[in-house]
Amino acid sequence: MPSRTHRRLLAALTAASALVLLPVLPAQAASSSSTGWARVAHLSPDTRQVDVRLAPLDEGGKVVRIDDVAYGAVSQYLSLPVGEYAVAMRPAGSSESATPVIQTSFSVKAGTASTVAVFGRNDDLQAKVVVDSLRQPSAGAGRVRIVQAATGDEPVTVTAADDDERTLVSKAALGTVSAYADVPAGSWQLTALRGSDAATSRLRVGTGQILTVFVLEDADGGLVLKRVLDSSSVGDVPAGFLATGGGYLAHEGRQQDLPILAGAGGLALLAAAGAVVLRRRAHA
Amino acid sequence: MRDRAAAVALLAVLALSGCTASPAEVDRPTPRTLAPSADTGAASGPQRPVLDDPGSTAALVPERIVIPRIGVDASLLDLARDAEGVLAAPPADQLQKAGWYADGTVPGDVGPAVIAGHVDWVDRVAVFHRLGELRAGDQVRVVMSDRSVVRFTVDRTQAVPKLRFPTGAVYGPTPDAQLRVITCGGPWDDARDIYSENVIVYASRTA
Repeated sequence: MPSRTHRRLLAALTAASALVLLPVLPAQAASSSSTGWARVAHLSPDTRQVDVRLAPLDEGGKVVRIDDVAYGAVSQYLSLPVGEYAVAMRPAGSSESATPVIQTSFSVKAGTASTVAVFGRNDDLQAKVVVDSLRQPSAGAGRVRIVQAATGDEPVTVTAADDDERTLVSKAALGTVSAYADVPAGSWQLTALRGSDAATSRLRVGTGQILTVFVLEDADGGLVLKRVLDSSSVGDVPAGFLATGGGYLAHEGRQQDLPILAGAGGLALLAAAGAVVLRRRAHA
Repeated sequence: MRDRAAAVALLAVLALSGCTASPAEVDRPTPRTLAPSADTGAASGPQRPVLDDPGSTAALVPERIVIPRIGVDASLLDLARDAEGVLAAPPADQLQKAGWYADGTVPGDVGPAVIAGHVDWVDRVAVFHRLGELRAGDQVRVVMSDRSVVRFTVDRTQAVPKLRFPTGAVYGPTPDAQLRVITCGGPWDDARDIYSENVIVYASRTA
């Protein structure tokens, strides 16, 4: 038979576990729980500019267009309602009834970012949807990945050199998307190798930046590297909370002037405060 | 068999639309090469890629924050992290000013720009005493050092216990230009002698 002490202990443990079960806050930045982000990359060297149409499969959803996307261009991210989307790319300026150059579909998930990329030569176009990182890079680091969009049969290797050298992607075929790698912030010498063909480029990596380097080709077929900022954190992340009040509104009986806080947290606090008041009255 | 059906269907469409096509064209295997309207988008040859990198808004810094809905029009100080890594608030003699985390994101650049200000002091209200009234759709403007204005629209307002400050949501990576405006709120915590909550406004650059 449980003693009084045991019962109290049990009650305390229950209360503690209730605390632990409070709503978990999102681990990454999301402007809303009902939107995500998407962008478009045109990586086909012999395909002219395209108009891109993103049509939600949900009836009544708003169709979004990104016009005049040329080879090598990576659009800005668009904030889109979550859901499934049909993507169609048509030669720039053609009517929406024209046969798409390529089409695919993808889903926008809450608080996530993706890139719809079209690769390869015009007579063998491929579409690929990749998920872009929104995780905070480790302290003092940025995050880099390689998207290999150079056509041709020979694979491409990309290395980054600073004090040390690291391989970002090795013998990557057309359409390869490497994993992201955290690298110390700074200026890196990038080298892309394909057989005897080489391209070099300086890569700035800021603290908290997430980057994609696209391997492309110039009009002569030589390798070209393009840096694109996927996302960025604040950089050096502050610790803990902010102390931005002196207590005047709380202490002068002006609690009613304090910001009215919406949401379950605020309501729960109000309810808790009310319960305390009631209990005190009951004891008085 | 299917190709043949497609060809017949296409022929019918062409006939209806008044287009003329020679039988030789109709016999080709894929509609893509069949229809005169089906532009494959092929360029005449390999093209030079677009290589522009928009980068940052150069050397601009924010100078004022304007929030019409709650009557805020305040100049901005630079804020920094202290030795413990905590973002320091504006000093007590600058209560009507707000502060921008100057080692962080410039408003308008990709990432979360952070602006913080006091809700009150021991004996008076301060710049952000009405911040918690902001709701989705409200406007926030940041005036930059070249007098240009970066406009944001509030996505949501959140009140969180300070001991569960959502570091990832506030400071973590975003793929577009965002703004966080932060002050204090909630009941006073007598034991710690601070407000028990932070009020955080999340806003995105207005498209």
